[in-house]
Amino acid sequence: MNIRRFTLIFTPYFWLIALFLIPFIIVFKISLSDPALAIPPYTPNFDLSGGWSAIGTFFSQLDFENYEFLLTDDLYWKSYLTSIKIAFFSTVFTLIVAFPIAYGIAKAPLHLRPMLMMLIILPFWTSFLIRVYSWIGILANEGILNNFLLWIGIIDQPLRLINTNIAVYIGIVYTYLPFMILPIYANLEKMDSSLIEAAEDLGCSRIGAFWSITLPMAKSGIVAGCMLVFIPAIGEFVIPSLLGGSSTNMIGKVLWGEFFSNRDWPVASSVAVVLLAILMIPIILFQRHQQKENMNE
Amino acid sequence: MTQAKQTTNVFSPWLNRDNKPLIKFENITKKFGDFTAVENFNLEIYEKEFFALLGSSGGGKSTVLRMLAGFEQPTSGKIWLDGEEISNTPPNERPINMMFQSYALFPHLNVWDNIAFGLKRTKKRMASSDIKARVEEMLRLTQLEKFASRKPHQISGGQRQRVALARSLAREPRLLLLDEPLGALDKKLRQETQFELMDIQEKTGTTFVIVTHDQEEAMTMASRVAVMDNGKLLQVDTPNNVYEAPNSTYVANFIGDINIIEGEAKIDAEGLLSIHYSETAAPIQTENTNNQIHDGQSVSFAVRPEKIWIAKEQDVSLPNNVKGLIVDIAYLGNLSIYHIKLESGQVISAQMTNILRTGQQEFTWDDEVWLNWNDTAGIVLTR
Amino acid sequence: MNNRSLSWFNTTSLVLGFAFLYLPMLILIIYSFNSSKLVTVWAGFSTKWYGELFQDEQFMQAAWVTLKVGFFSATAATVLGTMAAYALVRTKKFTGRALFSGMIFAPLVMPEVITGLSLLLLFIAIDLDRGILTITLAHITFSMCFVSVVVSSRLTSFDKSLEEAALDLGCTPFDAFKSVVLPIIMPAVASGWLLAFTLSLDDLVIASFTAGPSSTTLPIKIYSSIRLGVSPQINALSTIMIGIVTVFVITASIISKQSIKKYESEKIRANL
Repeated sequence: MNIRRFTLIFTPYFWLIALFLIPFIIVFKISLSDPALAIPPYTPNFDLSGGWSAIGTFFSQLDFENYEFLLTDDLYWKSYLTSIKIAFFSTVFTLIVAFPIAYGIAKAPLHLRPMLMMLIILPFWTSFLIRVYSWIGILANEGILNNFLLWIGIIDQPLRLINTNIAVYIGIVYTYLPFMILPIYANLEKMDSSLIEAAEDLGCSRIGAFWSITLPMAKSGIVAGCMLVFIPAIGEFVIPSLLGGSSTNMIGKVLWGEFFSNRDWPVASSVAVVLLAILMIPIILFQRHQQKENMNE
Repeated sequence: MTQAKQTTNVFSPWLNRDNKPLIKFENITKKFGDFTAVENFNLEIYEKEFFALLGSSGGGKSTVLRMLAGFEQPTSGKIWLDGEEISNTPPNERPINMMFQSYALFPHLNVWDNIAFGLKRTKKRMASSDIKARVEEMLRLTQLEKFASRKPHQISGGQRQRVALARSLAREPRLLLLDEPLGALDKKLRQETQFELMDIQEKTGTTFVIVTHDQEEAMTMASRVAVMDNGKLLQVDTPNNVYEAPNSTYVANFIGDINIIEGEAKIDAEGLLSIHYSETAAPIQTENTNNQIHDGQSVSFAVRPEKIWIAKEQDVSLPNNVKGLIVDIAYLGNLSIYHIKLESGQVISAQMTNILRTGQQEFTWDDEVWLNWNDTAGIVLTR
Repeated sequence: MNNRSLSWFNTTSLVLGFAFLYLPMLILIIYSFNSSKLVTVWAGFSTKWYGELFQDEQFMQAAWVTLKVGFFSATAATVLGTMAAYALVRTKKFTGRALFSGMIFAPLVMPEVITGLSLLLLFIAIDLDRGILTITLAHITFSMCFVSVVVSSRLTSFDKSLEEAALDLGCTPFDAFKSVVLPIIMPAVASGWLLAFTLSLDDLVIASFTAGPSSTTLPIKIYSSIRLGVSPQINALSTIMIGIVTVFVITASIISKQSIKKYESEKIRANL
């Protein structure tokens, strides 16, 4: 291996080791420490000057107390469950909203498709925070939606929408919609229309052809889209903190609070480690799926 | 006529043992993991040859070409260029250029800059006036003067092919490698381009090594053809010899159509060879060109369809006459191919030129005919 | 598929879908011109919130910090991400390749709270003062992975024989990258840069963890003002940001559309 190739590979490699891998090791280490009123606010601290015996004591002081704490205090495991539940249902809702749109664009005349796709991607380039924010004014008690519904007389009392799980679902569907539409559209667009014609020729009804041809062919796009929504939604912070209520304890919010409000670094770290462990399963499944897709192409 | 033929045919440097080859492969083996792409490959290519590597896809011919270009290194063995070992020389340091199957024209550069690309990267820096002169010479050679400022996507497929050729010839390589150079062209353009390539090869005097799966292409252009299969070299010879004297049934089948009849060789007291292929039919009488054959050996008799004469009557002046029934006729315009089922069960194909324009063809389905051929028409193969 | 006009079902789903995507932003823009401080009551047209916004030192300061971080992190991330993509696509075997590709993939789906927390703990462990530098380092780390994905999808469809042709014509591997590969993948590299820049401008969570007291970015500033509810100033700011992005994306797509059209027509002409 010559020096150029070495530089090419190992510059980004070492960067990621230093700023991605090592930080995780530190998080893991702190998750085994105890909180302390000090700077940094945990103990023990790693100190090489004490020699081997100090390293020995260092390791002997690490324990899994914080993890036991996570198990015993129901705030935490309930938050994990809430996060998974909200992520799951918002993924389903996003799919329900996204599929007809992706399908509609794939069926649109060829010259319109690039423009329609651009319109789908355009919101993605605008600030995430602003997109979430735009719903505060709509969903507020005296917000536009309530005013509108009161005006047309469907309701006589404003609905409580903001600071509820419903608002969180709407926020996630709204902000993650392009991630679901893109892969599904990519699959549907590639599809040869003669397949549908062949199915109809062989006796399928229109709806039958949709179920037995279109949907299976779009499967890998649907899987990719669901993963792209589900995985980041679990750890979402901005949406539950702006649109959710005090009862919407998603784990990202809990971690944030643990760190910034309670200043309990060891517990925040162990929350992060457990969250990561939970995410490992879908992340690995997703990577496998993507690799398989790339192989097929 | 014979005079002219002799003067053009003198180009056969491989026959003279004193000639030093330009390229020499010495026991080359190339493995990709467990897969052996090229096995124990030995070959010599001479200066000014138009050499064709022929074989089906995956037969190892492209690997041989890529080893010559320097994109792959042999697992074992040596490659020599002009007596110098180049097995591990990187591609940019070899005086060898390649014309890629996809042409690999740089899409961001125009025709002029594509051709000049290699000239700007010579070991001894070329003066820009020399580069200019050379590019213009190449443009003239390939008749691309008018397109010099076009980008590759602004010209046609045939023009792109010529740009690729001009670009690889510009550096005056000792050896030019052509990977399926005509593969992307349609049939008509392919035939024209074949002659163009031969013309340019003659004009520049460059040694060409071409990889192709198209036997017609190889036969038309090459001074010698090497037939490869499964990473092994089967036969290296002139197109004429490969066609008329294939050394194996694979080569015989690969190049052109051929009838193969398996049987047992019998050599009589006078040394005459006959092949017994059926208990009922008379044995095939054939010339004994291969001295390796011994009495009782199982062999294949190979005869090309055009060397068999179909007649209503038995032609006793020829040593081989077999009776059969026409089961199929393929009319190709200039000629017709007949499939004739022999009484022993074999189906033999024979060709007849359609001399008469009007009227009925002489033979039709289910006609009983005689197949007659001379004892020099076929060849006996042992593998 | 075909040029049949859209069925009513498809038309309805597209109309509803785009209404869902664009109505909230449209409302935001309309109310940014509302003279009332009460966001839900329309009290007449006014541009006073824009004026107030531009006089707000803190917002201007935060915007400047955000742009600086965005520019430097996007540039560094583009260099590193392109290197990573090239290394991964072109080198099929080296020690630790699996770990490398895993680390390139993971940040794409990693919750920002984890990335932010872990980077902060690293900066504290090595005693690096939090500020513009730490935000930039953090942004480089996650956006280089996005750049790498964009560039490697271009590289996998890149005809490898172009690179071989360059080597064959006398290029060193580095020269081949510089004069053949890079010019051809440049559009992907450029969109990688844009993506990295946008991600950096957009990021709240990681910046909140890694920012110091003197280095408030725009998203941090926005977040702290909207936590308390709707503010007309933020509406004005949002309108400006949406406007910039819209103009930018539309211009970019028109340019690329024109160049595609030109390319196609030239191709057709060439084959006549």
